[in-house]
Amino acid sequence: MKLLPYSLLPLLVICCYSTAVHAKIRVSNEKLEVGETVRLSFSAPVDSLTVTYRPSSSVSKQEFLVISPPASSTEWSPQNPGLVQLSYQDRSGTHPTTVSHNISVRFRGFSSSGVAVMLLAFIILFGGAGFAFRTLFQRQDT
Amino acid sequence: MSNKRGNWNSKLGFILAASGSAIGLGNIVFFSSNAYQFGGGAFYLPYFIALFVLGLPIMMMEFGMGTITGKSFPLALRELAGQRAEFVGWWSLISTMFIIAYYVAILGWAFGMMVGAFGSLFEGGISAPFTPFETPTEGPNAMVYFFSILATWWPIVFIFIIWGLNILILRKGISSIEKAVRVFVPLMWLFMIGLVIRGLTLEGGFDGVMYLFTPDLEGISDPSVWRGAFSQMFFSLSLGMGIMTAYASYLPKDADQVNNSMLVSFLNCSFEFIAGIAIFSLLFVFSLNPAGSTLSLSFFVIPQGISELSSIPWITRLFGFLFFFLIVIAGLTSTISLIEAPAAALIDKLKVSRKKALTMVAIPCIIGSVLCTLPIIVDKGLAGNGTLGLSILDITDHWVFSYALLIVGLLESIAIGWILGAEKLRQALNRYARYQLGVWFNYLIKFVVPGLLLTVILSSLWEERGSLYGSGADMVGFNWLPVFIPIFWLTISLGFAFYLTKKPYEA
Repeated sequence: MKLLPYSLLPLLVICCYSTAVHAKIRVSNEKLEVGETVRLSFSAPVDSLTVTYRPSSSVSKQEFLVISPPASSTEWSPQNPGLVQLSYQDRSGTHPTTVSHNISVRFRGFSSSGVAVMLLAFIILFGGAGFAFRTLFQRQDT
Repeated sequence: MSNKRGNWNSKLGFILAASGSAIGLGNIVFFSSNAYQFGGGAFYLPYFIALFVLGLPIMMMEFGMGTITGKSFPLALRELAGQRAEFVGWWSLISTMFIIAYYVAILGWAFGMMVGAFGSLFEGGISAPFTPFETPTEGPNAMVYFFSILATWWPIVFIFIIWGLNILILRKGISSIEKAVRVFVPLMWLFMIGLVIRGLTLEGGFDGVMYLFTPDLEGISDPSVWRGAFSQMFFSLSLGMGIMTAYASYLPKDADQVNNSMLVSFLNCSFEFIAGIAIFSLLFVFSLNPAGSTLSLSFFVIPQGISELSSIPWITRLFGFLFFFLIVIAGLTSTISLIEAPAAALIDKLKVSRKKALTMVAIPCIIGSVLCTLPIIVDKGLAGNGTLGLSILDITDHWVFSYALLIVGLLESIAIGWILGAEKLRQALNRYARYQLGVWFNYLIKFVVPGLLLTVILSSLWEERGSLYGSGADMVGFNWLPVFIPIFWLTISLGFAFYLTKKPYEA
């Protein structure tokens, strides 16, 4: 079935759930900031790693890390803040499976554009509601 | 403020009811999902444009139709634009009844999860009779718990509880609705603010908020972002379902519908704003992906985050209970308005009692709700939806929710903009408005709104061209459903709309 924006299908989560459960990616520091280097460990040696910033979105970005020679750990430094999915193909079983791990990369300090958008949206929405409330009660008073 | 149809006791009561109707399940999670998928803060650009050029004008039009005529949706359309417009109104309301049927089913599952918060929702060792979930889980797993409920007959008990609550609230009409929303709507805000506080006090929670609002402008050029924003605004404000016209028909004729529309729309969007903060802070801390459907986010992803909120079990259970209680009351304030819209129309047209009108709406909808909760397993491997009930719900939702409401919005804007004349509506709205609408309002109703809605409808249909929705999954014994459901919906809704339009009417 298609996963349209308004569909109630749970497929997306099921896909995430059904990835290999035994093979795992471990991150030396789960509370990392953008630009900070961490060590990634795998259950078995891997030759490449896919890093997806903002996965399952229309603005997701990918980078491929080639690990040569194949190793069971490597260093990685996130380029962007936000949700990042790390994944690789595990070929140790009869069928290759995708092993993935999500990690939240924190901002280094404040995101000025984020704070600006938040304040602007807050002012428009709550300001608009407050203004309309005032008008409503003014009319009730008169 | 008195006539036979009843009236709101206060303007605040009306505002609470209308905003409660608009704020539903989708507001809690859907905005977050869209914002995540379409570039965080960048999504606010199309979102605000959609609010001002689509949401607010249609809201003003639907409110205006109610107060100008003092009638429910189909009869208001008839009075303003003729009998053919009445047909559109009935088609909208019959389609709304399909939505009521599955919406109550979703609330039934939410009720089950709410009860489960103090049961085994946040415990390990759960399994469900589907291939991926047959082995008991090591820790809490909300998705497995949900499917374990789905495969039992319990949801049918839960939907009868939800239906009982709806009938209880609706039995005395506008007075009992007002009493309920005076409790439920402030509670919704209170619980959501509680979730925001909890989310922000988690380590890394504020980074989640910055992630929500930091704009990624690359996505803005993608047409799907704009389509997503316009659709979200239309559905989020409960437009095209006749609800706002029915509620506004219980207001006095001198109500300021320009201001009321602004208030309800801004309250709705403000709720989405704080819900976004709560959801993003929570999901970011636990590295959970906010992209997904309303169902997957509400029932699997957020409860999974809640399960990690505290090491003290009763706090986790309490937050889980409150989250699903929030979903149930947000849903209830929407279902009462969804049921009231066709009930009010039947009372107006057929001159039947409220009890009889509610029965006429409730019986087919209850049958629909039961069908949507049938636990018969049709897809054990969960390549699709698993049970017959969820499959029926999903396909019905796809057709009715994605198309009927938008088509009604398009047709009503044509009826009011071109047949009645947008200028007449503008003058009627301006008569009691503190802030006057300019001529730009006419252009929005006549050209911009129909143009936007037509674009969204056609682009959605274009995406359907590959295969019929639902035909990709193998539903053992029920592979005919993807063909049957849209035909059934169209036949029933158009047939009854024709029948009710042809019924004689005396004002």
